[in-house]
Amino acid sequence: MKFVEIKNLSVTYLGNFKPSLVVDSLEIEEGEAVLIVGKSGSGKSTLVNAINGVIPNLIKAEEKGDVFVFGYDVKNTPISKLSRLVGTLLQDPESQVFNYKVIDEVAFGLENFMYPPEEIRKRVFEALKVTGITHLADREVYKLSGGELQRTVLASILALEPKALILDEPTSNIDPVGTKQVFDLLRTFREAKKSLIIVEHKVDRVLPYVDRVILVNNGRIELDIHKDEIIDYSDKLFFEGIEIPEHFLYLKKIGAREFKPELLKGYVHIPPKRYDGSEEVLYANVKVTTKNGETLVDTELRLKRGHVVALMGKNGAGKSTLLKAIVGILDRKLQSKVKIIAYGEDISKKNITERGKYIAYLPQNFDLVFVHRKVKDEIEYTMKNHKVYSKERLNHFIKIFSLERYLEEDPLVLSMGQRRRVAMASVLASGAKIVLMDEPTSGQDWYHRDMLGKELMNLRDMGYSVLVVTHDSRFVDKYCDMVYVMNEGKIVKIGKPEEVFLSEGIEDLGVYPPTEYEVMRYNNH
Amino acid sequence: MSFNGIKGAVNVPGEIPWEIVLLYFILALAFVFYIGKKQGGLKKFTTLDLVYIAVGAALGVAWEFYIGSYLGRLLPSSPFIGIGFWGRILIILIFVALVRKVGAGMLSLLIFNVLSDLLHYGFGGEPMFTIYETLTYGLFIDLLIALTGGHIFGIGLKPNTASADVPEEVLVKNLRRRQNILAIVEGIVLGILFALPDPIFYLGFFRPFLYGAIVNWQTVIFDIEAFIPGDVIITIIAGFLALRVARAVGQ
Amino acid sequence: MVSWILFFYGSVIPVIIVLALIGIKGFVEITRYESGTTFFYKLNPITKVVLGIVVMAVASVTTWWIGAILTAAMLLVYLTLNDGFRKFMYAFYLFLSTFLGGTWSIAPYTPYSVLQLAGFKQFNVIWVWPSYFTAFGYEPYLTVQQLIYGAQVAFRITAVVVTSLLLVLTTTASDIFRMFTKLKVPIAITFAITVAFTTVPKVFDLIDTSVKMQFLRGFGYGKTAILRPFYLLVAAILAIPPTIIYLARNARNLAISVDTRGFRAYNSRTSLVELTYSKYDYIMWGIIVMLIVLAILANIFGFGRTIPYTGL
Repeated sequence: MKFVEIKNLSVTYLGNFKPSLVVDSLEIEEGEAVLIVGKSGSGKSTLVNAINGVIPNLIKAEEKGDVFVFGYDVKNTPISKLSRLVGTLLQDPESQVFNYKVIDEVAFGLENFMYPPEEIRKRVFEALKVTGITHLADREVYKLSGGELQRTVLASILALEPKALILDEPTSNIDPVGTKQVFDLLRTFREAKKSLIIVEHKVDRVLPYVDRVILVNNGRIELDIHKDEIIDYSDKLFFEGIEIPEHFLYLKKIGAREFKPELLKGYVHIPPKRYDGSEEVLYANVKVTTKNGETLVDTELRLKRGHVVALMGKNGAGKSTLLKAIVGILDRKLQSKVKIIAYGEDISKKNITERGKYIAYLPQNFDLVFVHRKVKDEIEYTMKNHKVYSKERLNHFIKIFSLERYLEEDPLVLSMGQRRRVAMASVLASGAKIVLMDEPTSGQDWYHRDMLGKELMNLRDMGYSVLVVTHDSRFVDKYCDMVYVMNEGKIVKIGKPEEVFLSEGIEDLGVYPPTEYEVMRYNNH
Repeated sequence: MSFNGIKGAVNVPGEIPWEIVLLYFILALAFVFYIGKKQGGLKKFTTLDLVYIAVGAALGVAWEFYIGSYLGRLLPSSPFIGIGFWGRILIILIFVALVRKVGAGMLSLLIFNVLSDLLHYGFGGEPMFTIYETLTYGLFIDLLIALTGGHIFGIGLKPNTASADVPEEVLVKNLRRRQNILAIVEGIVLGILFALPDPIFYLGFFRPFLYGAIVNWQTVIFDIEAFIPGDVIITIIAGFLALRVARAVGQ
Repeated sequence: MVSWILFFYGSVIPVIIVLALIGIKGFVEITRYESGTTFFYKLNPITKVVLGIVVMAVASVTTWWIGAILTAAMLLVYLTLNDGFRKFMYAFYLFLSTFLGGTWSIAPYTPYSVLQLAGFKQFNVIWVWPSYFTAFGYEPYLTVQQLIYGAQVAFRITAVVVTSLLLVLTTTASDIFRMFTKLKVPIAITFAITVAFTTVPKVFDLIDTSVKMQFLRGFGYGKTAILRPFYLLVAAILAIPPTIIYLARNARNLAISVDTRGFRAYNSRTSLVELTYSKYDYIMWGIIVMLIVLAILANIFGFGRTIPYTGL
């Protein structure tokens, strides 16, 4: 039996003129595993939502054509019935959970299907075992890391024993440790012969677990290849903004048709030029403790002018807390001792508003920055508040972030990439030249991360100093001059990206180098 | 006769006859059942609709009992100003506009009331207040949804694509203008309707019924007139904000 | 001038108390469940809801000082919760704000006829308002009795508010869901209430982030510290549209997540953990019965409700 059969499908969202997805024909066999790649907004999620019944059952859209899943016509099958056949895991772990305890979350689906309590208990513990989180059964979900949360939701799905799984960017919002835990489960699913659809940006990491790769671009399936053909199409995928490792392109260049380690003997990864920065512009000595005396952060941090520095490390290492302590927005229940010197001036005693003049900060939920109806007003707001408004200054930021076309638009209705640029312009408009960014690469495709990297390089050239918290090692390798690795509240490693990535035991600190470095290590041995 | 100070008075001079009040709520309830039966009851609400309604109620509570209540204390108390009510109804309207199904208004008011009982009121005065609010404010919103064919404030309307050679931007612009006009017109209608229940039902019936208060029709009329401007402005703003939110979530 | 200061600052003090001492983040802590093992956490949610209803009923049918004692007793219960002292302090600030705000929002508007109904015979004028203050609905004079009356009515409110938040702080969303399911409330309504219940603290969390971002972007730059709570309030209002849109965008994820796990496959659900009544519930039921008896006795012995509901 076929897992998926699609014929002449077109999906048009309300208020749109054109369909967001058109698929003439697509078939996925039972037991097959398919990787779907594509830029944000390309139609990937629309495709999987048309398969699991979310469209048209839950999301209003005009759907034409046929979609069959295990022989069921999706249009005429309740989503609850489909959910016993196909489980769906989404990108953002936090917004998927509904219950308070892990065990309740895992039991949620079974309770919906009215299994008797003893059967629920049995299946819950089986699912917890498969996902390796039995020890978390009684933990509160909001205290879990992203990886643990994703495994909790996966356990909840697996407890229903679906024949197929759809994983829609399951690792985009979680750290490398969690990512590895989720990817490790893919092997288990393959062994259990589950049908799989995985939407992922990390092509090289998922490739071992899939049979086919599908590229969705501009709402159409542009490529549908066997995974062994990926080298052949690596340049095309790279051109379409897909995160393709450099050594894939190397293999293509030397005429290789398939991935074999011995063919990579001649491959050398040459890191980009790293900048040294000039004088020190920020010194921070931060100690943050909980009321119970647990130390969350106890470290020193220095930043130079014209330097882009990545702050990496496991979830819970204290990265976000360090940033918040520097800008002065820590939770009240935390105790902190902070010494901050910016541009030679001690600003430790200054409040948030005053610190904003020296240091700009972009939170992970950057949508919460917007309080005005027009992009132009949003940028002006910061300038006027800080009393640094001038027309030239406004135009300067508009130009840096290419916002000319959107000045009169509502920032909240722009695309994600545009919103991030408006948010950056809005925080930098204070005149601060030190920029702290909390996971700006999280949940973004390579196209947008690449764009962000180029903007950071531009800022560096203008004398800005950037500290960016990220888990994205490929982004760090390509765009950062220096890496600080944090562990248990301390910066424990400092070096250029290549030094850090090639150092011993770096994975233990929650930093997983890009696969290019794994190839180099392999070659060196 | 009275119990615990509640008079149960139905013959206070000027009071709206209890038969009329009862008739209103029976008719409203009958309408609810009719619509519910015709449209499939709670089943027609998708889970996404329910989440929207829930989020609207939660924001409404956060406003009415916390943020709005502090703001309200900074402003003079008068019939012209109702910070708590305004914020709540504005937020609820935004989320109802994302659902746009008849019943969404009443369901929103119901969830808001249960939540505020859990968090704040301890079910004081229930179920009377829930029935009252659901079958007045909630029902008015639903009537508007029914009258607009599920396109409250013009949300969900398709651009007029009759002539093929008009560029897409122009079509979008025309649609937005139409939506803005609809937000104003519907805001005025809804604002006027919202100004009625409190003076008519509370001042004109519940207060004399519960506490034996004497109805002062001048105050009732004054309150209706005083409520209208604020309520109209707020519902128009709600219309514009609903359009903004609907665009942001891709509707 | 003094009248205007009283007019504004009578109301402003509670606002300052809450915003300066609790902050927006404090609302997250006072509206979010955190696990614990003490008495209140072990109660069936139905018991806690009934307690809330009974406290509300007792406070409204008995004399004001019984409401005050109930408020104090329920406040002390906060000390038994996980991180109890912190929660107690937050609840105390909230009580203080509700009490002062409640008193002040009632006192100047209360006419003498209502005070007479409440049993006050003498009136001691402590302030004469300018005549145009009647436009705000103020009585011409402020009397001690008005303030006492306002405080008495406020205790009726504080007892309920303090008890209601105890339910919120000690009950998980899953248990709220189970409670309403057990009470045979339709599953769609149960779900919406539960989602709303868990969204309230999220709302404050998001508003807090947005407010902090506004301050970093210079909102209130160069202004004195005393004006800070007002800037905080304005920033909180400005934070609402982005919060709405953020929550509306995320709504889709939750809906997909629960629907693809069979939500509403049937009209009811089973439960891994059945809500049961333990010995702790029986103890609380005993206390509830005592409260009801107390209310009856209070009424018999002349300590029934002394203040009318008019003016609420």
